Amino acid sequence: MSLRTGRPGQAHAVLGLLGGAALVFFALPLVALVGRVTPAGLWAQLGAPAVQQALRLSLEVSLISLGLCVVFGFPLAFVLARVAFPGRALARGLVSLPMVLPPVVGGIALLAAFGRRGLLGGWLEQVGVVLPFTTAGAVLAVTFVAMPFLVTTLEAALASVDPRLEMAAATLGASRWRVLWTVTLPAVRPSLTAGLALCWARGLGEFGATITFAGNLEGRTQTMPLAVYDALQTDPEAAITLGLVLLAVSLTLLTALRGHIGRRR
Amino acid sequence: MFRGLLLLAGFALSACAREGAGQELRVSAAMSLKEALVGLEPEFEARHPGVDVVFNFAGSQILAGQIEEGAPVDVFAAADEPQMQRAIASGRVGPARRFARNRLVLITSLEAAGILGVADLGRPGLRLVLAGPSVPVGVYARAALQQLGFADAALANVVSNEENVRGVVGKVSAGEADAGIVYATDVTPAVAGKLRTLPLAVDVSPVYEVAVLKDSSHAALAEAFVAELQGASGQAALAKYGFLPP
Repeated sequence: MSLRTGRPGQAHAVLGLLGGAALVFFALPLVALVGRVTPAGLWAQLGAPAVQQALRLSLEVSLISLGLCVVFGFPLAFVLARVAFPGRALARGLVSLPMVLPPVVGGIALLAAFGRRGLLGGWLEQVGVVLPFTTAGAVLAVTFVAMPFLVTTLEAALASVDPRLEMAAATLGASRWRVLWTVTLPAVRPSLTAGLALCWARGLGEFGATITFAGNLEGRTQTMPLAVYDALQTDPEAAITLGLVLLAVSLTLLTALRGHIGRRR
Repeated sequence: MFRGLLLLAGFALSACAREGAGQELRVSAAMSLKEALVGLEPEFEARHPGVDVVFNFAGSQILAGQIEEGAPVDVFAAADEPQMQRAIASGRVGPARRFARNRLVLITSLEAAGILGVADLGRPGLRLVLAGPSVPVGVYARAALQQLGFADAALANVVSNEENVRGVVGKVSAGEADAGIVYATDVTPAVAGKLRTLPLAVDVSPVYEVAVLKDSSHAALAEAFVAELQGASGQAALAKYGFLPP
């Protein structure tokens, strides 16, 4: 309000000051982290087999998970945005829950469902599927935590697509799939990209659900965040370097993909 | 808005003020000491009015790392010598004193009834959980397996390296892992019914060491806490929880 009435100069100064303080609050720890790393140390760490293994596993786990998020998350977002069904509000809440739930609670919940003594545990064991302590389990944990970021972003975009565009395409004889592919998808593409970036970045950073549900073993379930935590116990410098690598990857992802959206609007 | 900010600042200040009331002794202690130290806390506080002992329980390697990074700590109790030496090497920690010993045991999940001893730990497909190789109990467990001659086969079955001993207990008592190696004192009454305990006949003797931080702001109180651990009442409390005398 005070932006339009009163003295805009003062309001801007206050907003600028507080906003600037917030930016410093975010930037300072990250800059401090960078300050603790030497280029030589960074290079040595990147060459270490354990680090490369963790990086490779992180990419593998997060990309497989991203694929699952798209295959299941897009339909879920579509249903939530377009289909009115009883309990939709509850379903929306459920989908958003992993975003605010402590990931370790997510991990415990996954154990309760897919663990050996879990709801589906006995049945899974019978058909030979083992999730805890396996890479598949790590993928499941990452998917559980990351998918909501894609779904909620996409859902908002799908709900705001002008239905007249889709109707027009349909009256011109396009099948439902064709409408989806040629009208709906292009309309939500910026949000899809942003959602994918958020989802992937969150997946790369997943720690709590993974270590709780899938455990911590090099090459199998020890993704980058777990490797950082492991390194912190013996070699804090290595942990900082690893953390910086993770930070750089995530920042690149978020800036490249989300920044891209910002320019479009 | 400014009033809101002031209010927030006020809350923050009053929270700080509450924390500052009385004397606070900060004890960083190995996870396995949890019940025993919490058990002897009331007696110590009764004898030192106005003192509140605040514990920070974690794997000793995490606590040593925190001390290296400058964490405010008055007393450090570690579950092995290497982590105590690491803390001492940081220059912040005074001389270490032994105050207890422990024993290793093999624990198995209720489902894994077929495991009768260490020899079974190498069976294909068995899920063994150990503490990580930098965690004291992880070091002891690997030494034990080495000594018994089953290290290679057993270590190939490790599915997770936990950050502290209670992580191992949790995975086995939940039935997710088949077996693990922990301290005898970790089979607390809370979990005793949820797993089976088998003896480990090895010559590995876990030792606990305690030291006062040189930059402690309550050095005398910290010394008193160490004396308590080494004294009759502290030793009795430790014995009650299954620890052996130093």
